[in-house]
Amino acid sequence: MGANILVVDDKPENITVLRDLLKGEGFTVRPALSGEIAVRAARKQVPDLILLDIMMPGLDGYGVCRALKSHSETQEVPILFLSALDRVQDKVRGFEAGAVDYISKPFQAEEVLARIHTHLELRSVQRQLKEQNQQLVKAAQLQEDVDRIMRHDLKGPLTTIIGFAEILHQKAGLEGEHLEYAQILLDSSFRMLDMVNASFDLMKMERGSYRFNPKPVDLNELLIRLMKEYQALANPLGIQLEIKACEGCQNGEVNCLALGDEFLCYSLFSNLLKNAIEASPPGGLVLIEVRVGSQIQVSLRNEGEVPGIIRERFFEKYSTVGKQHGTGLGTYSALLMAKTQGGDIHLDTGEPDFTTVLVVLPIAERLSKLHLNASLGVRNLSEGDPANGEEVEFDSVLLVDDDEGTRLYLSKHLPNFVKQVGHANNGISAFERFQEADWPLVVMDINMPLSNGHEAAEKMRAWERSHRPDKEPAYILGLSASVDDDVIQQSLESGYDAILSKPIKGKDFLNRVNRLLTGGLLSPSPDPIAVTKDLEEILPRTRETWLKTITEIEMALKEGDRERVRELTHRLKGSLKMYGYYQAGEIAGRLEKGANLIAETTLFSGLQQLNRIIKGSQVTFIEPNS
Amino acid sequence: MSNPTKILVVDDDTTVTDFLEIKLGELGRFEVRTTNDGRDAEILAASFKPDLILCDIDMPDMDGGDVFNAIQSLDQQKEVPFLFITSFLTKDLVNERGGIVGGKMMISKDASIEDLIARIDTILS
Repeated sequence: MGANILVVDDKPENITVLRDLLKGEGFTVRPALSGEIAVRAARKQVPDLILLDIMMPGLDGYGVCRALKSHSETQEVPILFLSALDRVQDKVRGFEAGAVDYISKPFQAEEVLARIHTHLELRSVQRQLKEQNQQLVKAAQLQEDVDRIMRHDLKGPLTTIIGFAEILHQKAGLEGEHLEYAQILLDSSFRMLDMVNASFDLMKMERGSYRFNPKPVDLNELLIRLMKEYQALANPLGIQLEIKACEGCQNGEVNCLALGDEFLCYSLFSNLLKNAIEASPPGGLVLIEVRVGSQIQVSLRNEGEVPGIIRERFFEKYSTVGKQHGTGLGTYSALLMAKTQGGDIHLDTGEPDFTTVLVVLPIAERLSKLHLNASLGVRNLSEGDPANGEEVEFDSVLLVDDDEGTRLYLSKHLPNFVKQVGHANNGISAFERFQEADWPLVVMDINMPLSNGHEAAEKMRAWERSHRPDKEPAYILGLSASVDDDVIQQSLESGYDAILSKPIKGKDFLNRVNRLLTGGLLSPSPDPIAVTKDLEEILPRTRETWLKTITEIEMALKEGDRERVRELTHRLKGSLKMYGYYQAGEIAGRLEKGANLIAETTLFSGLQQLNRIIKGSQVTFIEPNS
Repeated sequence: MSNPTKILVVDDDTTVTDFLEIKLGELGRFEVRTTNDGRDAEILAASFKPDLILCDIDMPDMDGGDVFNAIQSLDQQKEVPFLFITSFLTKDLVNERGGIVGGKMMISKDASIEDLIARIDTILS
């Protein structure tokens, strides 16, 4: 269908000429004999283009032009002036009023048609661009919405699904196929969680907003841990997992540390190892080898072959083949994670019958064992075996979450010795409940309606200080579906002791609480210890005293004298901090805090950490007033 | 100053008394005596006649409060100022209360040695 053109002229004969010309070209022509009629007609049905005379009684061409440009519906319509006025200033005035072109009368038919075609095309391209732009904006908006949904809205209910699937599977006494269904439900919900987490991290890395804080990561230790975790996947298939450390590490002389992010390294190798196992033929061998040069190189070899079609696109997003539940994100995200850490991943095609993935990461340093133990001492605490079945001993817990399912789920996983469980579904009622009793442990969501966790934690801390300064402050454990550095920082400042990311597996919940109480997950990496020179002479004696105190604490612990444990850890805390052993002091402080709360094994492991820091840390002696 | 200011440090933890003995002693303007036993503190207060007593709170047998009461009952030592050192409260919590907790002058063990010296100087001036 031809374009709709409005022709405006006060002389009917002029209109007739133009109409005949344009109709011949297949355009639809609407005539208007005055400026006023033209404006009304254009508003009633927006034309694709307007041919406009200037000199008209009443509203002239300039006036029509301005009127149409001032309305959003008509402002985009291209207007071509057609006038006997052909002085330069007339033309300039016309363009100023908003015209796209100016044709002088008398006109040549070909010229008019050529210009009309040009402007109609231009207009159509502009329109397309604008539409595409709007679609892009919409798509970007949509993606943000989806990301938000994934981060918060989806993880909340997912917590509940996982939680109850777990209860059904373990405690409901299901048998046969029903038990199998519960297992499938549980597996699927975990897979969904993996996907949500993975896509969120990917998005952050793709946008470059993942905050990367490089720290030394002990790859040997990390790979051994991963291997243990994946044994369960490999064993039923008869697949053997083997790790070959670098020579220095094998001899136990040095430990090789990559400079990276522990979480990223973990996810990276977890993805690759899982892939290697899945790609390996049954009964095959998956071999991990660590080599050290100017960089650290880890190779993962399996006896399966990468299909030709996937070989070239191995590290591309969404490339997957032959796997039942593959998302196609595993290797792609591994590559992103390696690059984020300044490393890289290649597919080694050298050996035709194997698939070997090479990961290269920057090297931090090769450290002597002694130094290493000290530098890893604190972190190890957070990596205790999650299946060691430690139990927390506390008699009451306040659970705060706007999601009733999460609260119910957490309360189902509390041990029998918890006699009192308080519930609150927002920050305001949480603070009210908090004042009603002594809660040794508060487990509180961060994102809640009315008053969020940060506000509630702040109020709780202020209230504790003013109403019971002599009592142990409660341990406030945060739960959040989106945990990043900012959230952690903000939470700790507001009064939380630690943050766990949602959802949490029930069996991990108490173990995590245990580890957090002794200062596990959120402990910073070990600080260098600086002691003033004047103390150099007495430091050996002081160290001996500290170590003796630790032995005393261990004895008190064995005897079950928790009050004595509290006294001694209290003393140790004060002394350690005085000498500049701040971090050890913090650990002692947490042990003091948890002396009456937490399991014996957890306290023991905390004491071991202290032992290691005191014995193993390298101390620099500094001038007293520097 | 011909006569250095005399400070008595009472703490059951030898690492703390060792530390303070060095840190305060090396300034040259303090004469420092230390003890790890509350009962001993009573005797030292009478003989050493300190200008100030730095005293831990949480001690077995005689705690900081007991030491304070015992020394207050000595005629000659009634007026001697007590600065309690504690790790019950962090320095921020002590500072928030203007250095006075429960009517007693207090400083946290995690305060810096410079802060402790400044506090001693303020009390003695």
